[in-house]
This record gives sequence, C-alpha cells and structure tokens, in this order.
Amino acid sequence: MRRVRAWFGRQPLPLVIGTAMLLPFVIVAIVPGLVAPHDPLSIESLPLEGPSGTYWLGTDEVGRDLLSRCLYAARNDIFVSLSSAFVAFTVGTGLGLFAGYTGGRVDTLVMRLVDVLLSFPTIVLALFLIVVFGRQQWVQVLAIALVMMPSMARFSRGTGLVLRNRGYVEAAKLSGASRWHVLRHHVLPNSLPTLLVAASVLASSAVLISASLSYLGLGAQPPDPSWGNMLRSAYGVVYEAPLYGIGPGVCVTIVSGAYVLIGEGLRRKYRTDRNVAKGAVAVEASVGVL
Amino acid sequence: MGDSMQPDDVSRRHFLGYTAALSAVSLGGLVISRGGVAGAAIARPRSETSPKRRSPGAATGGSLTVGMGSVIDGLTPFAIQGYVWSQMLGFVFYDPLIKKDSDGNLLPCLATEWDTTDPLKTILKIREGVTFHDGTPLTAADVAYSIAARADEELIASTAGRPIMTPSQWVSAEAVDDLTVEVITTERVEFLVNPQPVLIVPNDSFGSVNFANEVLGTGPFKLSSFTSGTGVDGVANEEYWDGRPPLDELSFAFFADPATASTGLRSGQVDALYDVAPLNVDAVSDVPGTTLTEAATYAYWWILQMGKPPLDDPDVRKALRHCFDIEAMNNASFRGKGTHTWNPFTLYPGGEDGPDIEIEYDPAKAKELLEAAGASDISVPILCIAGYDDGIAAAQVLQQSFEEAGVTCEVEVAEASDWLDRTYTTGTWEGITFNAGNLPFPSKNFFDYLVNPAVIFSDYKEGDVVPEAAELYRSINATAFEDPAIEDLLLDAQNMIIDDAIVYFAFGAPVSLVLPENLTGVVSNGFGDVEWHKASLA
Amino acid sequence: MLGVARGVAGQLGQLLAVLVAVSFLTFLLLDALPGSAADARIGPLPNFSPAERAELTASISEQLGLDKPLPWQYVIWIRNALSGDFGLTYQGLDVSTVIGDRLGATLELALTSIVVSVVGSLLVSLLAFRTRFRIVRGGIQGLTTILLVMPAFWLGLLLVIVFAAEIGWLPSAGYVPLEDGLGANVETLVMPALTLALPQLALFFRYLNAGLHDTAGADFVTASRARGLSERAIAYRHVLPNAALPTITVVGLVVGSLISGLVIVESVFSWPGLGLLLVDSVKSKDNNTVAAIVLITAATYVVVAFVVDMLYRLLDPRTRRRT
Repeated sequence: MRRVRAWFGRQPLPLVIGTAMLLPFVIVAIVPGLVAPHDPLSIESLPLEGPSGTYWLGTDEVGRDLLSRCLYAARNDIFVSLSSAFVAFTVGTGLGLFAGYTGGRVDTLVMRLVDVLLSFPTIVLALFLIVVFGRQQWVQVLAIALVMMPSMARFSRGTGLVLRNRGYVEAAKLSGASRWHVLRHHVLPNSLPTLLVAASVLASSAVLISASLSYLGLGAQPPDPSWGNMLRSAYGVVYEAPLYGIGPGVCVTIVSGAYVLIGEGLRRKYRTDRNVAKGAVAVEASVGVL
Repeated sequence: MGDSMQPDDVSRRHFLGYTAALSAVSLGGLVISRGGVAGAAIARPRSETSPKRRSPGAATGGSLTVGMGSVIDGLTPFAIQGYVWSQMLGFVFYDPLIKKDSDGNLLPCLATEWDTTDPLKTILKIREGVTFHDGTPLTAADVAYSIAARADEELIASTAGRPIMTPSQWVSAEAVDDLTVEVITTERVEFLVNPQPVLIVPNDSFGSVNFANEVLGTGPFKLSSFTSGTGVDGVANEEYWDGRPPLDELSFAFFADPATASTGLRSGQVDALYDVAPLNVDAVSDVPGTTLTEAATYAYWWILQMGKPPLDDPDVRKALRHCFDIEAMNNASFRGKGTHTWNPFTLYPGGEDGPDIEIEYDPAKAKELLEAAGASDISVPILCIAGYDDGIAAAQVLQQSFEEAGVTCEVEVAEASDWLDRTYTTGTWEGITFNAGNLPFPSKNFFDYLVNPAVIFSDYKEGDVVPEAAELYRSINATAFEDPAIEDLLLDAQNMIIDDAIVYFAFGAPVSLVLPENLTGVVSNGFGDVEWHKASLA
Repeated sequence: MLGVARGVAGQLGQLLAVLVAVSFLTFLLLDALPGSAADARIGPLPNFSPAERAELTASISEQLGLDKPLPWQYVIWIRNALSGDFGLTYQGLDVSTVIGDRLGATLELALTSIVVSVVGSLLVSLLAFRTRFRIVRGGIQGLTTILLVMPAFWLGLLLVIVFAAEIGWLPSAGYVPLEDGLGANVETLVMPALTLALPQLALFFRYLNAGLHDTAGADFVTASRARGLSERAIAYRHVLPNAALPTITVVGLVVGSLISGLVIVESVFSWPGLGLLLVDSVKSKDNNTVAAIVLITAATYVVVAFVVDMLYRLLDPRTRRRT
C-alpha cells in the first residue's frame, strides 16, 4: 500500500489530477445507470423546469431530466472522442513516421495527400461524410478522425525526420536491419513519449470537435443525448432557461481539460525531449480550435 | 526576477491557478445567469440598451425596422424561397396578381378580374394606371412575361424561377391587348393561388436588371439599400397605385434563426418582429412598448406511408391513433400553446366545420387493437426534417408512446435535401413523417398540403378509398371555391378521410407578429400575408 | 540562386496540384449527396404530383447541364472558375457576387481576431514571464488552459448571456457594415471577435510560454546574464524573437483552421459570413456555392502554408538545408 502511494506521489501532479478528472466520466460512460437518478429518455415532467429537488439541473425542452442526460451523454462523447483520437493517432502516426523516415518522393507524395485533407475546412469534410453516410456513431468517429489525422501525420513526420538521423538508427542500419525493423524497434519506442503527448491533445480536440458537430446538428440523433446537441438546445432556449447550458458546457470543459492535463503530465514525465512541448502545441494548433 | 522557475513549482501553481480560475468562472456564470432570470423581468427602456438603428430617428418618426428569423441573400422575385420572401419582402417591393383576405376570399391586386371558366385558358384583366418604380407604366406584356418566367422551361433555367407548373402543362401567356392577358395551359392549373405567387416585373427585364441586388417592381416601397445576408431598406413609393404608404422608411434586418431574432428585439436593434415561431413567443412577450398579434397558424402534420406495411392496413392505422399523447406533444412542441385537430380542415380560420373527433391517448388500448389486427410486432420509424425542432421534439414523445404500445420505433433526422429525395423524389421512405409550414389557403390547397401528401407519398392500392377522396377533391375548382354546392362534397370527402385514418392529426400554433404599440394599420390576413403599406406610426 | 528558384517553383507546383485535387474531390462528394440541385429549385411544397415533379426535375437538370457525366461537368466548372464565373446559386444569384458580399464580413472578423489573439498573447506571455507574483502567473496559466478546452460556442453563449441579455451593452447578434458607422460596426464585432480570438490567444500563449521558458534556459541567455544585461533587455532582445519563430508556424496553421471556427461563431452571432454560407449551402445542396467556398479556403490554406514556409527559410538559416 505504501509503495502504491509512493508511486502516486512520484507522478507529475497534472497527470494525477487529469486522470482523477477523467476517471469519473469514464466510469459514468461505462455504467451510467449507477449514477444517473432518472432515465434520460423518459419524459417525466414539464419542459424547461428549473433545478429542483427531483431534477437537480432541471428538465430539457421535452421534459426529461437534464442531469441524467448529461451523464448519459458521456457514453457518446467519451467513446467518440477516445476512438476518433485513437484512429487519428494510429493512422496519422503510421503515415507520418513512414513518410518522414523514408523521405524522398514517398515523403512528398504522402505529405501532399495529407495537405489535401488538411485544406478542406473541417466542417465541410465532416458534413459531407455525415450527410452521405448517415448520423451513426461510426460515421462521426470516422469524420473526426479524418479531420485530425493530417495534423498528426505532419507532426509525426517531423519526428520521423529527426530520428532518421539519430545515432542508434544509423547503427541499426549499418548492421543490416531492414527498414521495418528499424521503424518498429528503434524509431517508434523513442518517439512514443512525444507521440503520446500529441495523442492527448488529439483526444482533447476530439471532444471539442465532436461537441461542435453535435452543436451544428450533425452528432447524436434524438432522443440520444450528447453534450453538443444539449448545448444546441440550450442556445435555443437561452431566455427561457439560461441554466440549461451550464451542465453540458462544464462537462465538455472538464473532459477536454482532463485530456490536456494528462498530456501535460506525460510531458513532465518523459522530459527527455525538448521538442515534446513544441510538438504538442503544434499538433494542438494544427488540429485547430474549433 | 532573479530566481529561475522550477518545473515543479510551475505545475503546482498551474494547478492552483487552474482550479481557482475554473471555480471563479463557474460561480460567476451561475450567479449571473441566476440573477439574469430575475433581471430580465425588470422593465428597461429600450433606448438605454442598444439604440443602433440603421435609419435615423426613433420609431416614432416614420421609419420602422423589422427583424426576421431568416436570411435573404438576394432580392430575386423569381426564385421565391418560402413564405418569408413571398409573403413579406415580395409584397413590400413587388405586387402579386391577387391577394387573399382573412376569410379566404380572393382580392384583386394587379389583376382586377380573372376568368377561370375555361380550364385551359385563364383570362386576366390588368389594373390601369400602375407604374413601375422607374416610371414606366404596367401593361399586359409585363404580366405575361412574369408568368412565363416561372413556367417556361428555358426562362426558368436562367431566372431560377420556382415553377408554378410543369413544362407539359405550359403553353403560353400572351398579352391580348394592353390590359388583358391570356394564359393557355394543357390542363387546369391553379397558378393564381399558388402559395408563392407570381410577382410582376417588367417585360424582358431579366438580364438587364440585376434582380439579385436591385428591385424594379410596382410595390409600395422602393429599394434604398440592400446588404446581402444582413438587411434591406425601403423608402415609400410616392406613386403607389393604392396610395403612398404612411411610413417613410421600412427596413428589414435578417437574423440566422428565430431565436437570434428575438434577442435582436430585446436589445433594441429592431422595432418589430415578423414570423415569431410559437416556441419563441415567451422570449418576446414581455418586451416593453410592443404588442403581440397572431399573423398566421404554423402547423405540422403527420403523414403516413400507406403504400407499405404495416401502415397499409387501416386497422393498424386506427390502432396507432391511440398513441398520440397530445398534451405531452403540445408541451414539447409549443410549450402548451398549440391547438390540435384530428380533422385537419377545422384548424385554420375560414375552414369547414367537418366532423371533429377526439381520440383518447391509451397505449394499452393501442396494443390490444394491434394484436386484434394481427400486428403485434411491427416497426414504425419516424422520419424528421432537420431544423424543425418542434416536430423533432414531438417525434420523441411519440416514439416513447409507440414503444409503450409494443411498436418498435426509431427516430431519424434527415437534412431537407435528403428528406425531399426520400419522400417526393424516390418514395423510399417508410413509417411516419411530418411536414410543416404556415397554413395556406383555402381548403383545396389545404387538401394539397395535408391529404395529398398522404396520397402522393404513398403508392395506394387499387380500390382503396383514398383515390375516391382524391378524385373528389381534384374536381373542386379552387377559384370557384365560394360555390355552396361544393360544401357537401367536401364534407363527404372529409368523412372518408377521417374514418380511414388517412391523415393523422395536425398541430397548429399561432405565428406571431411583434409590433410597436404606436404602429397601426398593419394588415395581416391570418394566412401569413402581412402588408405594411397602410402602416403608420402614431 | 537557381536552385532556390527551382525549389520555390517545385513547391508552387505541388500546391497547385493540391488545389486541383481538393476541387475535384469536392465535386465528387457533392455529387454523392442525396437530392439534387433541381430539387432545391422546385422546392418542398407538394404542389406537384410525383409524375409532375419528375418531369420538372428532368427538365431543369437538362437545362442546367446536370445530366452530363461528372468529369465533363468538372471541366466546364474549372474553365468557368478560371475566368471568375462560379455559376449560379440555386436561387439564381451569381455565386461570386454572393461570396464577395459575405467575404468582407468574414475577413473583418478573422483579421480582428488574429490581431487580438497575436497581440494579446504577446502581452499576456510577457506579463506571465516577468511578473513577480506567482498567483498572477498561475491565474494566467489556469485561465488560458480553460479557454483552450472550453467549447467555443459555450464561450459565445456565456458572453451573450452576460453582455447582451443582462448588461445590455452589446447587441447579441447581427452585423452592421463599416459604411453604416464605425461605432455600430465595432459594437457588433466585439463579442464574435472575442469568442474567436480568446481560444486562439490561449493557444499562442501556451506556445509562446513553452518557447520562452525553453529559450530562457538556453545557454546564450545564461551568457547574457553573465555579461550583466538587464532582465528586460534579455527578454526583449533575445528571448522573444527566438520564441517567436516557431509561433509563425503556429499562426500559419491556425489561419487555415480559422475558417472552421468561423462557422460556429458566425452561426452563434448571426454574422453573415462565409462560414454560415458554407453550412447552409451544403445542407441545401447548393453545389456551386460549396465548391467555390471550398476552393477559396483551400487556396487560402495553401497560400498561407507557402508564405509561412518561405518566411521560415528566410528567418531561420538552419532550415534552409532541405532534408
């Protein structure tokens, strides 16, 4: 027990705090029924009631409990943000590392393809996909992943370039190792900390982008709740129920902030590379503040 | 600052600052919005808030700014997109051929007489002494051209005119003499009462006039300036045939949606609001110095896919009627302010008194009836149009009730273009959907809007009762609607339609106008037509 | 010298290729969307039976050239676009005119927010770097982090509730063009610009901050201190310029993604700009407008990336050698 506590104490503070902030949401996402006081889909009361003893955050425009909807929304938003970040991370990193490490024409071609994706306005890409394929969850995940993937590719390409010239890589190449072997056993492990930080940034952006898409009406379908579409409804009733938007807004901010803190913590933990800080922010910047 | 910063110091401080900032922000937000609910009730003279008006002078000086919850990109009178343009701006800068009063009667506007006895030839007499804004007199040739611009294939392609008839129905529109037009068609077409009426422009003017940014019409106001997407200003037309409007200036400010328009009224950006949806009425009912009047009835109505199972079985349709929790749907859609009817024809002013029926909300009974009909395991999806929040809210209530009755129900929201495609174009939709809008005039068009879609959208089978009702309605001539002999026919048709549950009910709620208290003379016929050219400020 | 020119030309060529690819992809995607431009022109009202509707659709499609094969449509579109003719919207308005009308509003908003965020971030990071009070630094760090992780439309909503609904200082929405009065224009500009700028400011601040700390610990700063230079001189003359270099990259990338942020802000504040136009056009299947806007934004991104790349080469000799 004491060893566990000691281990905790050695972790950077942001990492601990971030994880502490995220964990409740992850739990709620997995078993919302344990925490939510009411059924998020059942219409129990008059619409747009203020906070009360039974409905802590009041009711929505149809008459459902806002608090329960906020909590159940975690299911959609946490899942979408994590999975799209994962997809963007793996595909983007793979592409970028490969391009950066290989160099030459392959590098240029891959980067130009990435540029094509990057120069599409985010919304258009997501809009297209959703209108064509429908509003199911996997389409949202795909759309968000496609939007974030290019920046990840760009960033990891830089890392690939840098690492190409590092000593251990040269040594491995001299000893006759194949390109794949070098990539897997040398480049990847050494760039992983940097990339992990970038991944946390991706996750934080994913939450925001997913909320934005839901705000524009492209996210979860009614009656399923998501923080973004709750904020959309909140904006429509801002004079009748100004407190509506507080709950979902705070949730998005906390989750997004949690990811950022975790990233910050990871940066402190793997403080081997000065480029990690700049890189993380570069990824942040290129994913965009949506 | 001599000491160097330790990373650990920074991170701890970072965290402290983060928490402090977060708590401050949330507390502040909570306090302010809590106080806001109370604060909004305090009357505040509008001149103290944000007195930004685009035209000089306060609301008492002969100029009025009206806010609208939709955006106009261009002033083209041909491609009329919805009621906002055709009932509002159209009538401000242009004139149509006829107008309607609150009883549904047709009134002459630029057309003084119309003869529709011959179904293939409509003869119009044009008003004398009307001039366009540039002084040229109105003649029959102008009217003929304006009609052709929305019916002739090639003209439509360049003007983007919204068609009033199909190419195969269109033959010609000719000026027989200076004040008479003959419109020839291959079958009866009710273009005079088209809800998006033909607006009259000068002959051959498309191409020489940039209609997107300029106005050349006969209307009560002339264009003074137009900023695409933002607003439009008009000045009184001194030579207007019905008398110079009392107002000197009439301006319209565009907002992205009705909710934002409401905030524009509260902050004093605009003096009046047009087309306030039922959902937004509460937000504007307490603004000092204004009154709320009803301008139209907005309705949405449920349409059934009767061409495919399970709704092709009339017993199933009748059973499902018991799943409509009217009260909850009313609350969800209109905060309880709506009216509903199972007989759609009684919902608007001037409508017929057909059989008015009431159906009890009883999902258990629905379940029983479904079992009796041998349909206890059916699936009825609901298809919604994106942007129609009231319908979407009601759909969610409906879904719950369907599930209670043992019916599998999925709600889907489709973009307008997708919805159009699946309902009108390809007919691939299933289950229930709804359409919505401001109720049109008169009963014949009503049928077009409520019953016809049920007929149009579904592939009804031979021998079904629906074609009989449809035939009955098609035989009624809308412009000869005043004929009392027709009333019996209408009643028969209504009974047929209601007994067989061809139409699920319609929900209506008033669409309002918010006007300054000192403004009089605004004419609103209850169908959404609002006329400003007799309006004056006290 | 020639080598540099060849390098630049090569870059340009690649970027042009990107533009072509983007525009063709847009065409493909637009074609895949359900519904057709003809449908939009006819409208949703049930005035026509299905047979009548089908007839109208066929007639309009033929007149508009929509029945031709897609690559052929694309070629015609490119040819027209090169001469500035982007076709008509489904309302019959000239697309380039509509975009031109909206472009002014978007540019005003975008430029204002960039200026505010860049200048603001510089000021804030200098303050954080130089302040003696740890609580100030912590507070700034905290606030900027919150701004970064807050959804933009929530920020906008809060601003509206406070400044428009409650205090009533500012109009909650709408746009007054510059010609109609500077004061009114600024009033409508404040909140949208802030909503757009504040998160960007936070982002730049984080970047500058990391850069500043980085450089601050670097050897040459230690050397300068040893030489007796004042702290202020060190900050302004050495730390800031070097920290600013990577910021240029960030600015370049952010400008490209500004357009997406604009969509949200424009819709929250009813700002009649390109972002709003884009969303509405996609939803109503107004293909010409969408294609034109996508082309413009892609071109903007491409140009900005090109300029940033050139600037980088000029300012930092270390990157001149291409890997």
